Amino acid sequence: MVIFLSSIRQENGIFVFVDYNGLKHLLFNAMDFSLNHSNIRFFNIEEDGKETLSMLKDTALSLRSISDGSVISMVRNIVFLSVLDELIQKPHNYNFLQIGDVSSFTEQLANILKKFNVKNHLYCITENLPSKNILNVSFLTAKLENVILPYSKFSAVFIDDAYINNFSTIPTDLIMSLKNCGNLFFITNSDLLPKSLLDDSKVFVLHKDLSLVSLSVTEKLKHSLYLQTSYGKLEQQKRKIINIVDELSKNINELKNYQSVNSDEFLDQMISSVYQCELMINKIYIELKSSYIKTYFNELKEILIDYRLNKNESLKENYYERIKQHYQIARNELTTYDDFIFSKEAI
Amino acid sequence: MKEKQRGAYTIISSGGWWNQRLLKDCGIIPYLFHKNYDFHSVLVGYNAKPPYLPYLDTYLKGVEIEFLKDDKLETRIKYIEDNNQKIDLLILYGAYYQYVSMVDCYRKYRPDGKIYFATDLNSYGMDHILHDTYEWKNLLSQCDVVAASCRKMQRNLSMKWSAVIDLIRNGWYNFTNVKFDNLLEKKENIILTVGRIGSPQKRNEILLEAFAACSDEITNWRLRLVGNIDPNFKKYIDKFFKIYPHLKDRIDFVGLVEDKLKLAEEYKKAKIFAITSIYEGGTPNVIAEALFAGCYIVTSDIDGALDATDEGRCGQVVPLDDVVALSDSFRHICNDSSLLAGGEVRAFHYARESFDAEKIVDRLYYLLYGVK
Repeated sequence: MVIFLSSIRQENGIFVFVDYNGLKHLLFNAMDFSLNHSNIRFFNIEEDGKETLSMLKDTALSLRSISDGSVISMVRNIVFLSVLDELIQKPHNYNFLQIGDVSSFTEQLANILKKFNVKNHLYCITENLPSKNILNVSFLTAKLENVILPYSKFSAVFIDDAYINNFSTIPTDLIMSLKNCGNLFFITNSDLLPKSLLDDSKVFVLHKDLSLVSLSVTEKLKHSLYLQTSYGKLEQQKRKIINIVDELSKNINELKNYQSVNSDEFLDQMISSVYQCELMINKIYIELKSSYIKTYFNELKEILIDYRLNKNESLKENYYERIKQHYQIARNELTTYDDFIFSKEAI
Repeated sequence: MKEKQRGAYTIISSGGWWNQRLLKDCGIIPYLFHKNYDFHSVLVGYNAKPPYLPYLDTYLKGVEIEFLKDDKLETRIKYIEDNNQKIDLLILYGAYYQYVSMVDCYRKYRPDGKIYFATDLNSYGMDHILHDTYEWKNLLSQCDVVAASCRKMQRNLSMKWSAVIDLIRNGWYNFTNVKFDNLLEKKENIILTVGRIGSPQKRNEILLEAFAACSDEITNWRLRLVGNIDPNFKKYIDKFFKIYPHLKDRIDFVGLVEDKLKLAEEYKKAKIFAITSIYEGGTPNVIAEALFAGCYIVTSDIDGALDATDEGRCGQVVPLDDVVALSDSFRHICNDSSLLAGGEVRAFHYARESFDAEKIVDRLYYLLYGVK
C-alpha cells in the first residue's frame, strides 16, 4: 500500500496519517487500550506519580509536540507510533533493532519498551559511540556491513536517517534477522524497490524521491530470500557435501565386491566426488568448527587414489578396510560439531 | 600425427642448480615425469658460474637444464612469457612470494596448463608467510596441486591456507639399482647419520654427546657420520675427542660420499639412522633412503618425525636438542634386539609403501591429470 503522506494528525488521542486525498489512515489509538492484551499493568503508579496508562497517552500525545515538521521527525513519529501499536497487542518479549545514530528517539523507545516488559530489549548498531548508556539498550559500534546479524531475532528493525541515500537496496541478512511478520522500517526512493517487496510494504511517500517503507517480512518472503543469504548459501553448500558423502557410502559398500566393480571409471568417479567435497569444504572452511575436516577428506582421497593405482590384487581387501575407516572418520567429523545440522527453514 | 610432447618446467625461485640438488625431489620428480610419462623435463635456474653437475648426465638422463642470464624475478617472468607454449606443467619448489607474479604470468598465457606447487614447508616457514593476503590466496587458487611433504605440515597448512593441500612426500628413487637382498642379515651395529656434518641446523653435537653418554652401555656399537664437515665444526670435534679420547675408534667421520652405490652401502650396513636437526623442510630426503635400506629411525621432533618413523612403528622421536633423551633412546633400542629387528622389517616395507618416488609421481600425475 502506498500512502502519499500529507501529515500526521492527532485528534482526541487517535493518530492518523492524512494522505494527499484527505483520506485518514489509523496509526495508533492512544485513547482506547481496552481491547489490547498487553501484560502491562496500566494502573501501575510510576515514579513520577502518574499511572502507566496516563504516561503512555502522554508519550503518544507528546509526539505531536516534539515533531518539528521535518521529514526526519515525521519518519520517527510514524515508526514510533507503529511500534507502540505493536507493543500493546500482545505480551511478547520484543527485541528491536535500530541502525543509525543514537538520539532522543532511541531513549524514548527504550523507555517505552522497558515499561511494557522488562525483558524487552533494544539493540542499536551505530557508527558513533553513544555518550551515555541507556538501560535495556545494547550498543554495537560498527558498520552494518561488518555485523553478522542473528537469524529471526527482531520484531522490528528501524534504519535511522544516518542511512538515508545509501540504502537503495536492502541487505538480505537484515530481512532474515526479522521474525515472521516483523517490520523493517527504512527510508529510500520507493521507485528503486522491487515490486515483490512493494506488495508486502506500506510506503509513506515523504516527498518526490523519498519514502518511508514499512516492510512486513513474511514467511514466504524469507523463504524466497533464504538462498541469497550468507547462511542460506552456506547451508546449500553443506547439503551438497552431505549428499555427496551419502552417495559415497553406497559406492564404498559396492567396493566390497571389488572384483566386479572396481573399474577405473568407477573409482575415478569416487575420487572425483571426494575431491569435489574437498573443494566445497575449502570454500566454507572458515565457517566450520571442525579443524580437521579438510585433512580427513584429503586422506580419504589419498587412500582411494592409492587403491586406484595399486595393481596388486592381494592388497585390495586391506585397502577396502582402510577406505571404510577413512570414510567413517571423515563422515563422523561432519556430525561431531553442529556444522551440518540444518535449520527448519532450509530449502 | 605424433602428439606434441608435454613440457614439465621446474623453475627455481632464486639461485640455480647444484649437483646434490639434482637428486632431491626437485630433480627426481621432473626426471620421473620424463621417464614414466614422456614429458620433456627442463630445470631452470641461475648459476653465477658454470655448475659442476655430473649427476645430470649420470642419473637424470633426458632431463635438460637451462640457465637464466641473471637471478632477477623479471628474468624468470620473461622466461615464462617466452616459453609459455612449451610449459605444460610448471613445477615450483619452496613457498616463496616470487611465485605470485610468476604464476600470474603463466596463467595469463596458459589457463589450460598445470601448476604443481611443492611447498616443502616446515612450521617455521609456515608461520613466516603472509598467507592471508589476496596475492597468496590468488596464487594458491591458480595451482592445481599444492603439496606439503609431511603429514603434520599437510594438516597445519590445510587449517591455515585456503587451498586443498595434498601430501607428496620426499621419496627415494633407486638410480643406481641398489640390491637389497638379505638386507637385514647383513646389518652391523652402526648408528648412521648423513648430511652436512656440523651445520648449525643439523645439531650433530647432540648426536655425538648422546652417543658418548651411553657408549659404555652399548659397547659393541659404532657411530658413523657421512657428509662434508663444516670447517667450524672441526674445532668442536677436536675438543670432543679430547674429552672422550676412547671414542676415537668408535666414531667415524667418513666425509662426503658422492658415489651413490657406496652411499647406499653405508645405509645398508647401519641398523639405526639418526637425525638430530632442529628443523628440516618436511621429511628429509635422507629418511627415505634410510628407510629403503631398512634402518630403524631415531629422529629429533622435526615436523616430519611421525612420517619418518611411521608413527613409531619403525623408529622413535626424541625432543629437540635433548642429549639425555637421545642417549636413553640409543641405550634402549641398541639393547632390545627384537624391537630393532621388528622396526627394521617395518621400515623396509613402509619405505616401499610410502617413499617410493615412482609411486609418489604416479599419485602426483593422477592428482594433476586424473582428478576431474
